[in-house]
Amino acid sequence: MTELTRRLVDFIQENLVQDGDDITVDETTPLLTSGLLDSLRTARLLNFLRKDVGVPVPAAKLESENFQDVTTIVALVRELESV
Amino acid sequence: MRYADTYISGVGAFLPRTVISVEKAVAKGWYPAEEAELHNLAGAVVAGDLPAPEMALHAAQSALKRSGRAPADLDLLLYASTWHQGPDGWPPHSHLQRQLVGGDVLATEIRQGCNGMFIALELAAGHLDAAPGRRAALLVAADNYGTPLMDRWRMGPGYIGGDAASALVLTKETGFARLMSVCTTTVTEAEELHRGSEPLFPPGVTVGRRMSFAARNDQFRQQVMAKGEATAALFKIQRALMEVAERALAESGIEAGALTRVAFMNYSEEIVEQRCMAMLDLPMSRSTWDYGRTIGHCGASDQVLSLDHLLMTGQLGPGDSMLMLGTGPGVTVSSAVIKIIDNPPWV
Repeated sequence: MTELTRRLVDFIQENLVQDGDDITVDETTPLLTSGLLDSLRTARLLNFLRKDVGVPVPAAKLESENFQDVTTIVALVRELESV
Repeated sequence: MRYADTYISGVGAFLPRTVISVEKAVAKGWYPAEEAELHNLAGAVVAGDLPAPEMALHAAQSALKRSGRAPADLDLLLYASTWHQGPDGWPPHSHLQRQLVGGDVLATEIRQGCNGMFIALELAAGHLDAAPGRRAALLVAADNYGTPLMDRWRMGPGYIGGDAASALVLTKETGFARLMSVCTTTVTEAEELHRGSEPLFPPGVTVGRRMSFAARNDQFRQQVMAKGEATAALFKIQRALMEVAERALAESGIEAGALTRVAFMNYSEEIVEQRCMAMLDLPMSRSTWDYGRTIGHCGASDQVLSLDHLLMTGQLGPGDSMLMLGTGPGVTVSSAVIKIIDNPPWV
């Protein structure tokens, strides 16, 4: 697991999993079909990517395919970093 | 959409003097203590038995007086509402026609929830542009949530309802501010977010059903999770908010970092910070949350009330720009940019 993958898994576990939800996050945990990403939690995740990872995600890249799980988010970050 | 030569010449606000604090609401058992801690809201303005159309009339009179325009010298009156205004079947704008602008001004009600003022701005700007000689439109929003079937303290997740009215005079002649852009999109996949599992017929109010967006939001989540559709619709709402903000700023030729202030809905501290200000990479000091938290979420009026407050307290002046953002049932997502070009004559 890369450092970015670990940071994302930790952030999602600590900040997006609601109290009382029995979810252990890993890089393949579905984020949309599990209900983890609603409007507010999507905003929290995007702000983490921008502020802490240093990669702002433009609206045009906010496709649900890019936010299926941590693995697809890491791929998106790598793509945005290479531009 | 980008607008050329469309101005704001008057702003009006009516806020009831009574403010009920969150502290009192918690002590009375109206508002859960954990919600108070989570959302950091301060209170809500409460109108008692003052009808929304009366508040609308006060705000409209103020905006017109400040604009220097005669009440009948208008081409359009749009009245945005989110909750029941008076006797069902009776149009609330007819009160303003009879009491203020007369019968020769085309008038209608905009029932687009909390985005009503954005829709009114776009419709009014288009109406003024559509024929030569049209000069001005009066846009009004008002609500009083102190009715049966509504609980302002449990209206929805992260907000409490406040009673108020606001008004704008939009004009093709000069004004103190220029309307640069208004954008709206609808996330149709989230249509059931504000419907929940309620039947369309008979309408809930006709059978005395209480109104709660919080309950309907919960029902929506249960429905989409059961269908395997999950929360992709909610994800798309945040994407839409980013899109309309980016589009309005691009159409206005203004970078987010150059915005003087941003007015979102009067929601919780975390929602305003995470969904709006951090999205724009701006500090909370440039939001209107510190004001909004003291009055509550006032239907379609939040952004115009904040504009009025910023002008009256000297926090917006010539050269400043302001972004307004909002969401409403549908789910509609809207943005507008205004640029202050002169000191308002009434300040």
